[in-house]
Amino acid sequence: MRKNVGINSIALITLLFIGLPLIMIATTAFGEAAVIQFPIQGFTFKWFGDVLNTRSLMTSLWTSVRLAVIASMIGLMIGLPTSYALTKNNSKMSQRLLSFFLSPNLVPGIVMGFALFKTLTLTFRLTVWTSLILGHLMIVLPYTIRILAASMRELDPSIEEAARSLGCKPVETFIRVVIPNLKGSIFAALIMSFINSFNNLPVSLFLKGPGVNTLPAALMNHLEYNFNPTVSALSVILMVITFVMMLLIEKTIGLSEVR
Amino acid sequence: MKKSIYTTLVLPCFILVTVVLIVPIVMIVIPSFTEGGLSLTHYITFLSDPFYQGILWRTLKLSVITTLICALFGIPTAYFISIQKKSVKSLLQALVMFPLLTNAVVRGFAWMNVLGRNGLINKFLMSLSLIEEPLSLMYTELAIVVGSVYLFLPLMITTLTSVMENIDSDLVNATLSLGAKPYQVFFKVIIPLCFSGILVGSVLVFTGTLSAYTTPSLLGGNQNMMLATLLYQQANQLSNWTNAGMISLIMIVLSLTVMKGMNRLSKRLDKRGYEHA
Repeated sequence: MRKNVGINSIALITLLFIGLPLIMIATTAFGEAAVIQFPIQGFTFKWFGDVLNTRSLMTSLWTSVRLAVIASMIGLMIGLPTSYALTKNNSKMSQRLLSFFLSPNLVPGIVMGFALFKTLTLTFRLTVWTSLILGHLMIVLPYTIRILAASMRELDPSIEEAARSLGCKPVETFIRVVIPNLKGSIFAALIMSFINSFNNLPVSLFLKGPGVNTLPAALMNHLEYNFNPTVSALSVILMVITFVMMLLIEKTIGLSEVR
Repeated sequence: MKKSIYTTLVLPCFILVTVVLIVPIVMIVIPSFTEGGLSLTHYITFLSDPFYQGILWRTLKLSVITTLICALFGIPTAYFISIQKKSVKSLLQALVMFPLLTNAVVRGFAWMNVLGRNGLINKFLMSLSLIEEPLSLMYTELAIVVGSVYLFLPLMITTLTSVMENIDSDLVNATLSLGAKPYQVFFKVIIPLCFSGILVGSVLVFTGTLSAYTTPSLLGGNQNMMLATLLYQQANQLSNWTNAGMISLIMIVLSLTVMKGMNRLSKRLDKRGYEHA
């Protein structure tokens, strides 16, 4: 079974193909030359200092973090009651609504960006921050609802019944019984929301405004004029963030639950 | 649950998605039908222009190629991962998941360094004196395909691994004990059993490539526009709202058609005859 040479070699090539480019970029962040070269010569941390000193990158990093936190939080506040209702009432209507709520995921990002730019920014003249938050809410909502609905379906209903029969009111049951039981999934939903909002380019590209830029968009700009190890260093920082997030998901509900 | 409570819980989300997604999309699409009288003129003009036809054709072509390559490499890899010991398996799954959660700009940037004029491939080939002049690998359709495969191969693999994990190992053992060779197990048991998973993965890769913006704009350049980069150019640089709205609808319709078509196909061709969890 394990001696299938053909399959094994394709798999190894594929895994190398997936791993090597990122390892290469990570390595180039530590080279001393001002151009990206591989293999590197010398070893330095100065490009990381460069990232920290590039204001456009740092302010946009801060913007992206705040935006992702706000969008994930609002996404959770809206997604939690919604997924609860959808899983407690397993009608045809609920299934339709669920696919409706997951539909933002099916709209190409660039289309969503343009549509929101045209309506929220041009027609309704919302502020940059408001439209960015609304746009990113559409990005995070499907992830939140999918993860929460899946884990609520697995929640043993007898826990809630026990609480009710002991005299707990519905809202109280929800807050004191349902939510604590879903702690892990709620946390995972928040992290997946954060990652997806943080990484989004197309929606932010349209909705960013004067003085407000998200990190992926700023990085795109930066790449046009500075093709140097600073970008590699920033990539390393982003990869470390990704790695930490993955560890956090793995520790709470396991990676296989969120894909 | 009482109907009123149900409504109260679901309504905010419903209103939000309707107002922030559906209404804006309808509003950008309407002008593409109504501008200059109610007609399909814009679509007819657009679809008969060789320049736009080229972009539409390129988008479809590269999406199909990307999907095929992802399937070709993704299916064996997912199988390889699914039969590993638990500890190795989770390690490999994490390895595959990692790029998926890493920013697409970073992943595009990585390939710019591999494919560029002074990139890894050119340097390598020149050091071996196989070529004299650096090859122009960047800003080609090839670069877009490589970048897109890199972007979506992990998606194909994670989708397929979870399907393959659910295959009953008794089936595999039965086939082996009846004298099948490992490759026969793969082609005659595993692939038919996860056929619908392959279709789901293919839809994800296809629609993903079709609508991706980052990769074609970083690796394709202006010569190799795809629908997403064209949409951005029309909207952001030329302020041609009608064209942008039209391209939006074309992209949505293409994605939905492929999705519905594959769903139908998967229902018809599913060889398992029973539902998987």
